[in-house]
Amino acid sequence: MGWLSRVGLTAAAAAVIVAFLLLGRWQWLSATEARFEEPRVGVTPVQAIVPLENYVPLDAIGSSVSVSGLLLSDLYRLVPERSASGASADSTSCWRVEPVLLDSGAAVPVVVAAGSCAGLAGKDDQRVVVELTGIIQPSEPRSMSEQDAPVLASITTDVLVREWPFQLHDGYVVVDGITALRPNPPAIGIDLRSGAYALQWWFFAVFAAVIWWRAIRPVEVSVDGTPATVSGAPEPATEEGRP
Amino acid sequence: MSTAADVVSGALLRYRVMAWITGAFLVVMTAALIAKYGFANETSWYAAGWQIHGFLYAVYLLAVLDIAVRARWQPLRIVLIALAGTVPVVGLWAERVVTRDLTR
Repeated sequence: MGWLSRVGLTAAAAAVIVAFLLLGRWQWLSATEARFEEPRVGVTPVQAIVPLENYVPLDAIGSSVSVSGLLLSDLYRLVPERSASGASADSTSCWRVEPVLLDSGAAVPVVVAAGSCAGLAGKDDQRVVVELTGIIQPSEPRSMSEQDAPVLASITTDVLVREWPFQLHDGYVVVDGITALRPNPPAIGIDLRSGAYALQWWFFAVFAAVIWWRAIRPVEVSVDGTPATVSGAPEPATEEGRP
Repeated sequence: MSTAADVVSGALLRYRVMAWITGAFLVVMTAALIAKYGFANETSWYAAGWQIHGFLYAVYLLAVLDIAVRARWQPLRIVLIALAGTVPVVGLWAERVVTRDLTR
């Protein structure tokens, strides 16, 4: 390989390696820093913070949001062991969760009331246009316990999307006046998904570096002047992939 | 005492195992992707599945590197075989080509 080819190959490899390293760094920063950012200030429409097909951003959890649309009370669900103060409660206390249908045709789950489960189940089932504010919460982990409708064990987007016939924005909104559950502190200081992606990008960078080294390293030459090969191994492949 | 051919065949076996695991997993995840975006039916394991595939692919790359070193592949061939593992079904086809070339 001529020196010009080596320089070109090295430049290309360096670009790929640096790109992979930067992608890994970007993922690592989002894994370690976003988790500890303060909630945003001001009231923002919920669809602006959580676009469809996106998770609730870590730095948006607890932020104030507005929700405008058609409140579909007839599709209510009850979540037991929840109270208005955010403290854990017995199984007779519930949150009432209803979808608000936005102009886009997608819906947002909203915790609209807290109280006794029996009382909440008996409330009116009308559909009215509402404009309300609350705080955004992430989708909860899916509960292992099974419940029959209209009772839900948790407010989980994956579950609600099977309960209601709309696309759903991720997470849910707790209207002002009800205190959201205190989320458990993270067991570790990084977001595992982004951290795993970071590790994978860095691994790819190492792989690219190894390929580059194999491409430019001096070829071992045997005493008869031919490239040394492993005894019994196939001859080096050509660029067409054939020996 | 193991011969060089044995060393290559061991690496070939490791590569074939990882090519099939990664390739089959990629086909399953592609079906899940089509179900999600084509039919709005997201499986509960969708995100975790891609994470697992990412790590399986990393092990696949190690297997490719292992056999590439032992069989003295050209860098271009290493890159092509590595990239083949990112395309559904193509990784399985590449495994057939590699196996045929190294065993005939």
